[in-house]
Amino acid sequence: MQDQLISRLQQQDRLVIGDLYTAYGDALFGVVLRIVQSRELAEQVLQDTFLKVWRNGASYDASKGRLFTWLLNIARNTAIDATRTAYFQHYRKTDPLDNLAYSAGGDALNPDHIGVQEVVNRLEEKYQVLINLIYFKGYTQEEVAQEVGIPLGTVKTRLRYAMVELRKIFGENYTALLVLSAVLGDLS
Amino acid sequence: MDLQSFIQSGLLESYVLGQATAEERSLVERMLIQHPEARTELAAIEQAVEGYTKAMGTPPPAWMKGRILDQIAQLPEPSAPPVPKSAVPLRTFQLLAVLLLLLSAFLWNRNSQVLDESTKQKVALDNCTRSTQSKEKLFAMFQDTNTQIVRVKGLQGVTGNAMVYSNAKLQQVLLNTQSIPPVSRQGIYYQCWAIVGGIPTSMGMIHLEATDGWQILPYVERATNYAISAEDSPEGNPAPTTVLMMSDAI
Repeated sequence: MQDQLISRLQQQDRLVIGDLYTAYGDALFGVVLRIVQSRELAEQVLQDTFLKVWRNGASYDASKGRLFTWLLNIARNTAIDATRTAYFQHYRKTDPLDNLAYSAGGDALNPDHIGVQEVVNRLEEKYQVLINLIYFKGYTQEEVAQEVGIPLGTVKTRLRYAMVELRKIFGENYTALLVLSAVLGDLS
Repeated sequence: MDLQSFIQSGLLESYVLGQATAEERSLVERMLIQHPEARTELAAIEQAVEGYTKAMGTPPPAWMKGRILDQIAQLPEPSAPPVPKSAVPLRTFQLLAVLLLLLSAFLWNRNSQVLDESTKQKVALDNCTRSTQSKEKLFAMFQDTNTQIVRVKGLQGVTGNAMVYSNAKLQQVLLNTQSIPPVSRQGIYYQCWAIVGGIPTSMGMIHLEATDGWQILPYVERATNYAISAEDSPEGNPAPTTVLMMSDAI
């Protein structure tokens, strides 16, 4: 199924976008929302993301990483770029109330979800900071080094440790856990 | 670099999060080709990132999917489109072509009528092309850090705003017409102006029926304000008759 999606994407089949949206739309919207902190802008960014996905479909190379990673980085880059534009600066001035609603946990918005923020908060603060700067703000390793005041080499190894911790929570076992809780949910 | 140092280095993590430098990406890709263990490690990192991202998933609004598919349907093919196979047999096509030529020759002899026809068709085609082009330009403008946003406000008694997106680097101006009030009566047309050194320079007529409310306008250097006026002619006037909307100084 994944192979089919990939080959249709690489051939720039227009309809594959519908299937990708169904499979990944929620996930991509969630991260975009948390990056741009505004529903209206997130909607614009998500549309833009899928257009880019379609336009650049031929350049996706499966040997370099999974499809989701490729989609995610297009979404993240589009969202991060949007926060650096005049439009965003203008928008934030005119609609300040929207800003605080979306944190990385977003529990208020998605009561059904396992509290992501709660879970991530269990990570040591230095890992949380790193994830926030790199994942949500698109800081380069250099920029992180400057911001946090640590050597570049430390940024790289700390990222390694942060991801190892994240893997303990969200790795293979997590997916199995989701499936299990869905099944148990149906039974009760 | 030996495999274990590579795996411990954080380079794979940087790579997954899109923060590896070009040199680092080359290294990672080489290691991935050479070492199955590196590929396994990459997959595990990607899986965790996917799990984390899905955990914060939020459903977009219900209209989004249809809107995206519609937009894609309207965009041109990304590469040169294949020559379409004609559904019409060649003989018939040739006959039609000859008939068409004769018809055109006949029509060309009737000057003013022909000019009206071909002008109308050209305008229709232009509008179609413009709509597609303006969407692409719109996305480019939103993402460019040099884009300035100017609010053209209704003056006394005129409620409404027009948003002008201007980018000196891209030499483009986009006008959002959605909040411009409709004309007060038939026979009134809106014209857009850039004020340069105190003198209004016409940027053209505003087409309120433009799809989605977006219109591409020419870029004018050194504009200090934008204005919208009401005119009595569809081709506008060399100077504004009644200024209805004006921006603050840019």
